[in-house]
Amino acid sequence: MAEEKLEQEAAVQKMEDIALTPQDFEVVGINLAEGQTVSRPSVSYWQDAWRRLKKNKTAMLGIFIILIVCIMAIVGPFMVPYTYNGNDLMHINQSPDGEHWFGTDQLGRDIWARVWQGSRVSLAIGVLVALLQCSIGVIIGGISGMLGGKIDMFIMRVVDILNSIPYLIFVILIMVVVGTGIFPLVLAFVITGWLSMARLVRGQILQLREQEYVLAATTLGASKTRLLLRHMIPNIISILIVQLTMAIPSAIFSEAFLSFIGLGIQPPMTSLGQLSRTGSEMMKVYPYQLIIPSIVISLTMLSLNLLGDGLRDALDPRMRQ
Amino acid sequence: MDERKALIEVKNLKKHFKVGKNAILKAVDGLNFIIREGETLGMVGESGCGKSTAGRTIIRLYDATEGEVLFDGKNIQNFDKKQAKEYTKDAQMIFQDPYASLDPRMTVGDIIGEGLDIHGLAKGKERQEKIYDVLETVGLNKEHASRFPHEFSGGQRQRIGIARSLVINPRFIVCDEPISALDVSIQAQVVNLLIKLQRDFNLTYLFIAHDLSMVKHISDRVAVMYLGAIVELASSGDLYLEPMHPYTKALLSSIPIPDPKLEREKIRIRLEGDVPSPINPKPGCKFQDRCAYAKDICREVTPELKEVAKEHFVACHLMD
Ligand SMILES: Nc1ncnc2c1ncn2[C@@H]1O[C@H](COP(=O)(O)OP(=O)(O)O)[C@@H](O)[C@H]1O
Ligand code: SF4
Ligand SMILES: [Mg+2]
Repeated sequence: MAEEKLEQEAAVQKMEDIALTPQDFEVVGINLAEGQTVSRPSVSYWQDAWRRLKKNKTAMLGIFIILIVCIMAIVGPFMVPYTYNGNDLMHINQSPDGEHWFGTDQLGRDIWARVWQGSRVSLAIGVLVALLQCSIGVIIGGISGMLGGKIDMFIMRVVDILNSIPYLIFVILIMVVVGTGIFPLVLAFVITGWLSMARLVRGQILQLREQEYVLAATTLGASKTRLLLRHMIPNIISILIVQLTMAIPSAIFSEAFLSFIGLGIQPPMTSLGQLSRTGSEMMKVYPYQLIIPSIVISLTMLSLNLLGDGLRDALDPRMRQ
Repeated sequence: MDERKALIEVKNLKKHFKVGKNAILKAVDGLNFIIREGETLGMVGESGCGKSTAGRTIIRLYDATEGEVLFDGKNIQNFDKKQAKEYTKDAQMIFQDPYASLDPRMTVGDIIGEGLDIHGLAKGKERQEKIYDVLETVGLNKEHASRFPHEFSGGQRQRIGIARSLVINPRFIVCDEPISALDVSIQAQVVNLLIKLQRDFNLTYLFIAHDLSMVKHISDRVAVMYLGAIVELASSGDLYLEPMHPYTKALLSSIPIPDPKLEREKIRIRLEGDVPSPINPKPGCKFQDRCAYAKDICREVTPELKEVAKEHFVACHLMD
C-alpha cells in the first residue's frame, strides 16, 4: 500500500516536472512573408547533399582514408631513396626497419616504394576502368532507352549475350591477342563492366520518360538530346555517382585478383594484387610481405565502399524533406 | 450561335495502346469535336476514361492511332520537323501534378526559360526580363527565379507551370486537371488566373477535369467523356440545366445543390457497378452495363454523337 502511494507521488512529481508553462511556448521567430512564399531556404541540391554527407561519420572516415592512400600513392615512392624496381641482392627479405620502412622482398626491392607504386597502379586502373565503364554504360544505355523500339531491342540483346560470357574468358582472349599488361586488363574490364551500367541507365530513362517534367519539356519542343542531357542525366546523376564510386573498388579487386593468380600486372611493374602474389610466396617466413599490401587493398576498398554508401544516403532524393 | 472560327478540329480521333499479346487498350476511341479560337472546352469524365490521353494526342505527345487533329486547318500528323517544332510553340500543356511536372534539378528561372531557349526566342538580359515579366503575370515575383521547385507550395508550382507554358506565347493550352491536386482554397485562385490569362492573351483552352463542378465556371462548352468516347457535348449552361445522356444525369445528380429544398427534391441516379475495362471493349454502347435504360440495340450498335438540340450533342439510342 505504502509503496503504491509513493509511486503515485513520484509520478505526480514527474508530471509537474514536465508540465508546460507559457514560457515554453515562446515564439522562436516567424516571418510571415517568408512563410507564405518559401518553405525552406534556398540551398542547391549539392549543398544539401554535402551537408548530409558531412554528418555521416563513416563516410567521412572513408574520404579521409582514401585521401591518405591517394596522397601516399603520389608522394610515397619519393619519400625513400629507393625505386620500386631497383633490386639490391645484398639486402633481400629484410624485415621492416629504419632503413627499409616496410622491409625488402626476395630480390631486395624496397617494399615501401613498391607498395605505393602498386597503389598508384591499382588506383589508376580502378578509376580509369570505373570511368570508362560508366561513360560507355551511360551512353549506350541512354541511347537505348531514349530511342526505344528496334534499336533498343537490338542493344539489349547484345548486352544479354555479352553478359552471359564469363569475364575471365574475355580476359584470357584479350591476353592472347594483345598480351599482358595494364592496357589489356583495362580493356577486358571495360568490355565486361559497362553492361550493368547500361541496363541501369536504360531502366531509369524508361521511367523518366513518363515523368511529367520530361513530358513538359517535350511539349516545349525539346530534342531527344536535350531531354537526355538537360533533364534525365541530371536527375540520375546521383545514382551514377554512387555506381561510379562502387565500381572503383570492384575494379581494384578484379585487378588484384587477376594479378594474384598471375594473369594481371607482371613484375617488375607492380600493383597491390601483384605484391600480394609475391608476398604470398614468402607468407610463412616473411608474413609482412603479404600483410602490408593486403592491408592497403582492404583499407582502400573498405573506405571506397563506405564513401559509396554514404553518398547513396546523402544523394537519395527520397530522404529529402 | 458562336461565330468564332475553329482553332482545333478533332475528327474520329483514336489512340489505342497495345498492352499484351492480344490485348488492345482503347484509351481514346473516336472523338469528334471542335474548339473555337478563344474558347474553353471543358472535358470531364471519371479517372481513366482517356482525358489525358486525348489531350496528349492533340498536342502531339502521342501519335494518333486513327483519325485526325486539325490545328488552324492543318493536320498535325502530317507536320514536318519544322512545322512540328512550330506547333510546340503554339500548343502547350499544363500538367496535373504540380510536384512531378517541374524538373527538381532546375531553377524556376531555367524551367520557365527552357521554351525561350529551345525556340531561340530570347537570350541574356532579354531572356531574364521575359522570365521576370511572366513570373509577375502569374502572380509570383522575380526573386523566385533563382529558387528551386521544392521550395514552393502546390499552388505556386502550378503557377510556375503556367508561366512555363505562357512565356512562349502559345495560342492553345491543354490544361490537364490543373487544379485537382490543389487545396480547395487554392483552386479558385488558379482558375481565376487561367481565366484572366485567357482574356489578356486570347488563349484557347481544353480544360480537363474529373468532375463537372470544376469545369462549370471556366468552360464555354463541356464534353462529357466515358471510356474513351464523348457521350454528351453542349454549352455549359445547357448541360447543367438539361442533361440528356443517362451518364451525365448521373454525374450531375451526385453534385450537391446549394439550395436545400431543391437538393431534397432532386432525383438521385446512382451509378451501379464499376467502370468497365477499356481493354478489348465489347460492342455497343460503352455505358450499357451501368445504364438503367439499356435496350437490346444498346448491346449491338454503338450510338453516335448526334445533334439533338441546337449545339447540344448526345450519343444515346434513347434520343432516336
Ligand atoms: N502509355 C500508356 N500505355 C498503356 N496504357 C495507357 C497509357 N496511358 C494511359 N493508358 C491507359 O489509358 C486509359 C486512359 O488513361 P488516361 O488518359 O490517363 O485517363 P484520365 O486522364 O482520364 O484519367 C487508362 O486505362 C490508362 O491505364
Ligand atoms: S445507348 Fe443505351 S445503354 Fe447507352 S446510354 Fe443510351 S440507353 Fe443507356
Ligand atoms: Mg489524367
